[in-house]
Amino acid sequence: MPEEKLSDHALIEATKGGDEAAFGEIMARYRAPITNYLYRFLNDYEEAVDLAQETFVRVYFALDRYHTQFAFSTYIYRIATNLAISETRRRKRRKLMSLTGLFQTDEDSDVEFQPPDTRILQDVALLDNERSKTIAKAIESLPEKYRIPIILRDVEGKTYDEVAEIMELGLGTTKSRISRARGLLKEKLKQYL
Amino acid sequence: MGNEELNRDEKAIADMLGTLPRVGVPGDFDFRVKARIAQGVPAVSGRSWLMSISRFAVPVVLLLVVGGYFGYRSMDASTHEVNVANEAKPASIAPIVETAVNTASVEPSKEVIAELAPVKPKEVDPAVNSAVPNSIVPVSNSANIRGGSIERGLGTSRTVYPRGTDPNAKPPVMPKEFNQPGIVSAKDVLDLLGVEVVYSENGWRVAKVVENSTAQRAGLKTGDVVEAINDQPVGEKTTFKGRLTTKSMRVKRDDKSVEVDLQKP
Repeated sequence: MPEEKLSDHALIEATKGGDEAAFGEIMARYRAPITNYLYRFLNDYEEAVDLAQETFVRVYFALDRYHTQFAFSTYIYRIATNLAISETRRRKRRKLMSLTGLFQTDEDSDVEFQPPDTRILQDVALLDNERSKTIAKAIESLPEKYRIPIILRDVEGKTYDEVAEIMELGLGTTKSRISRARGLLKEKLKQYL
Repeated sequence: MGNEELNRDEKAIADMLGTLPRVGVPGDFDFRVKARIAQGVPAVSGRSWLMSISRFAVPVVLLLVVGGYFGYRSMDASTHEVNVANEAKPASIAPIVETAVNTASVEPSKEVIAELAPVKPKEVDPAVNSAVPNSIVPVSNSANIRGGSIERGLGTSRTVYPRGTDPNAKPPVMPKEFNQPGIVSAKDVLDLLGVEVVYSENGWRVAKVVENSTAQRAGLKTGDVVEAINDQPVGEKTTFKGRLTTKSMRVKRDDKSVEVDLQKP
């Protein structure tokens, strides 16, 4: 079967018909971008992989409810986004109910974002690693409504229209939020600009 | 100028994010997804909001149940004390009978109602008398006539007993017949109507009719023999139970039965 030529919708239909290989092809197409998206959202690799797997499980069990009038990429990113939001809120609740969370204020949580160490390092790889971590922390510190669109746009390379569709927002609102997110990151990452 | 700078910074940020290294997926990614699908239940759905709510709700409900139980117990205890205190007043036992009898005999009404009040108890437990001391238990003093202070209000509540009761007294012992309906004999009923009767072999014979009594207004005469009251035959041991309203009487006069209307004005 020339799988690479089949569209997402064709693969979905084949999966509905019991073709397991078709679903394997869907996973092959989207597992890396979805995992990367979730990793940038949660800044936790293990959790990102877990939620990415869960995303495909949800997709599989919801195949009958999927309408081909929507792009599959939009659909799967929306599922991943919802799972990531749920996970973030669950973390907050867990933090709220934990003993340390009881005595930790919002100001304390802001301290988690550490500014970059500006000392000169000899090892370029280490420097890049540090820079990546700082950027990741800066993204993680953004509110959800800014974090989601900027990751989709600037990390995953989605178009504004696609981002708007995934977030179920208007185009203007989406652009505004992306711009605002960049403004917030500019303040946090001015050392690298 | 400002917009250009902003756009330049935005572009720099976008480029910076675009250069972030991309993460890969573990080799068993597909296998794990298929394993989850084989299990049939999405894993994350188990972490429902219900669980998080229950973490709060269960302790709160337990607290309410325990607090409510002890609160109810304390309220119930105080209510019980007040009831005991109220019941510790046996002074109202005797006067009921006396009042009923005296009123009826001294001033007979048009419609004689034999108040079959509870039978007077034969004897009352001495503990009852001792339970009602003459001294009055003070419920307030001059210091708190205008009410208590906040500290006093928030403090332990004090049960207030009616005047003249002893909170430490035992509750009175009720006589067995106390709550039973009264029983009155036919002779007593006739006495209340205003006739003095003597029982003979023929029945209750009127020996005397009291002046201005119901019997006199109804026309009863000396020598009449009472056969029935309210169509109920009257014998030597006839008794009436409960409330009785005498409406009519049948007497034997000159070997003839005569109906007498006791409700005649």
